[in-house]
Amino acid sequence: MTQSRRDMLRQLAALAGVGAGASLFNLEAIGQEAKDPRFLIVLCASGGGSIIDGPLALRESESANPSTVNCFPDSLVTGWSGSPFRAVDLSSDAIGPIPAPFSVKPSDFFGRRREDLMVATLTGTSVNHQVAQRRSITGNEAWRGRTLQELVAWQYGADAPIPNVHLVAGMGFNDSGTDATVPTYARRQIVADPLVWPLSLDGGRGVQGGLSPEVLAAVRGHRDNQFEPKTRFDQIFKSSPRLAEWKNLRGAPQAKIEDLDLITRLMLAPDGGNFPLGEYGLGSSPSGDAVRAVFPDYATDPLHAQAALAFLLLKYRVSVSVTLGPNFSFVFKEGGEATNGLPENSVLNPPLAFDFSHQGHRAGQAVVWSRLYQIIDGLMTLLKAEDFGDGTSFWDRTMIYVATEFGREKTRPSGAQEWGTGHDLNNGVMVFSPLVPGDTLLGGVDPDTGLTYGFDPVTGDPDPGRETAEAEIFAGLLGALDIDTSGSGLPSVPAMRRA
Amino acid sequence: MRPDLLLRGLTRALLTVAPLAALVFSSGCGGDEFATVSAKARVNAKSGSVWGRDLANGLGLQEWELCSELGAYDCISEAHRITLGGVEPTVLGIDEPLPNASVSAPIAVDRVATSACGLRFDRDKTGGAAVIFGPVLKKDNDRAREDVADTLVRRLLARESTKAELESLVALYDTLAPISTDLTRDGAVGMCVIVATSTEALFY
Repeated sequence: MTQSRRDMLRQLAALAGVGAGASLFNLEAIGQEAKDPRFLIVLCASGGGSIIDGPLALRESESANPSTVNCFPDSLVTGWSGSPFRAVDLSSDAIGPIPAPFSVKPSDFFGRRREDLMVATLTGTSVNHQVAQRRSITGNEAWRGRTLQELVAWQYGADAPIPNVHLVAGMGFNDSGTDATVPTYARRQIVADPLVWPLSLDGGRGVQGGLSPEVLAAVRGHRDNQFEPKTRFDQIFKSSPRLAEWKNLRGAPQAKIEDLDLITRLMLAPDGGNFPLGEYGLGSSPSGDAVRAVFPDYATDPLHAQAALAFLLLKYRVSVSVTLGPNFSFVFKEGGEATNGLPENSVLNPPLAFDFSHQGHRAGQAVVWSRLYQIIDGLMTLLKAEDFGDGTSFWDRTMIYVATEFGREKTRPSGAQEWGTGHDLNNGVMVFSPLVPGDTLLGGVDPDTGLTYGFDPVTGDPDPGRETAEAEIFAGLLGALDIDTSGSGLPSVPAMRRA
Repeated sequence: MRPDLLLRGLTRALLTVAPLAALVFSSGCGGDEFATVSAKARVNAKSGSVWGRDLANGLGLQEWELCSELGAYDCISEAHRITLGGVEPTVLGIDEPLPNASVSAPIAVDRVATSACGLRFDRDKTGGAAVIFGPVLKKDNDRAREDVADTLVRRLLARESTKAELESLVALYDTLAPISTDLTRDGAVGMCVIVATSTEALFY
């Protein structure tokens, strides 16, 4: 970004920050930003992903209270020289009360990906799921209730047809912000089913007994410009914001979507079987083979389908912010031989995702973390291989923010290897990105209590006397994404930005 | 009676009747040009299921016949359920309709209406008694087109049509003439799509 554009944005953002409307946000400057975008992927650790069951796992030998603090036998914990991160390779014959054997090996993942990982500790302000989820994306309403996704879409998504897509629904992570000055184009769009949603991206193609594209375009124009204005309903209610919104969507946004042939480009499914695309004059995405190879369970596992579509949305420049994650539904993988209960690794998502920790903490955390690592790994693979067009890859400008909701209780019954935990404010977040300092832990963990502590927002030095606030994480993420926060009143957290 | 009292009485009567008369004319009984603008303009979107039911009733089709994506996914209850303002609390956790129209909702609406109107036309053409498109199938001229347009407004919007609306719908044929290879079908289906996807059909 040039200095002049930066200054202009700063001034405009300052205006917006004190209550000016979105119309004051200079469209030309925003258009320039759209040509040099950053991409945000919010991966929801739904239900409370405990950071000390992930990359900040504790070894029993480190703790003064090894039998009662949530720590692991040293033999299970893998570490790397010079790295603050750990991985716990774990297997068991059950996930809490579910007789489903599992085996996870996150050490492979961290061995490959930790160079782009930053963990920042965090102490939240709510252990209510919905509330904590929302605060994960608003920094506890730190900037007029705007969400991270909205801000990224606002600054970088002016040219994108659907800048802010949410592929999981019904959670606080999916809340809209509360700032009415956020432009309409930056607000979230919910995609309920990634597999069939692309069929709603063209008004005529694939419709049985439909109209030709030319005829449909003429019919639409006649409706909008000839018939509708003559109806009494339209004349009487023409000042309705709902009608105005609807008519606006029929215009430029619709044309942009249909012109990009998104019904094809975003179609995950291959031709055949339940998706006889060819019979209807449709086809699978040109990138379909690549995403299906990385997320092979796209047809049965909603998270695979979400991740596959998330990549396509970024690759085809449809979106600059995508939000995905497991919801609270049970996901079971059919097939496999069962020797003792259910087949091994057949439970992909336990009920309530991370919140299954109420029933079986250690196994629940291990299974769902492993599930998220697989998604991150796949997205990184695809994004690193995708040329942005200027010699850099899509990954070079992408951030995967693993929003952890809240932590879990840090203690366990003496010596227990499986137990149930409640919610805890104390935790941390993971951020995978070349935009943040890699292989870096901001803050730390007290091995005697399992509680995380904070860091200096400027230097990044660990500070055992400090806790990291939600607003600081929010501000740090925005800073790493080069979002101008001038006038927002947000704290400065340069420690979260790669030098 | 004293003239001044008579004048006062007449004035009072006029003051009472005038707003009533204005209301009668503005309600549309008298013609097209008397529509007024609602100051509050409180308009809500029909959910996909409500709109689909209206569409099915209007076209004389079953709801499940309206539209099926790839021959497998019912448009209203499955493929475009959330997009069209529906809910699905059990699996997706969506227990309230989206507060704002989805960006792809107008496109999804067009797909459903095009499929349903096309099906109605083809049935009227090949089946027994025609429900809507009989006049143009019998003889495709301006009179028949106007009859069909009138039927569409009455069946899909549940009211009488106006002259301006009918003229506007019939004029579609002129627009399509240079680009259509089957003007009878395209014109008839096109008029149906226009009425079925008009804001009056989608909002209340």
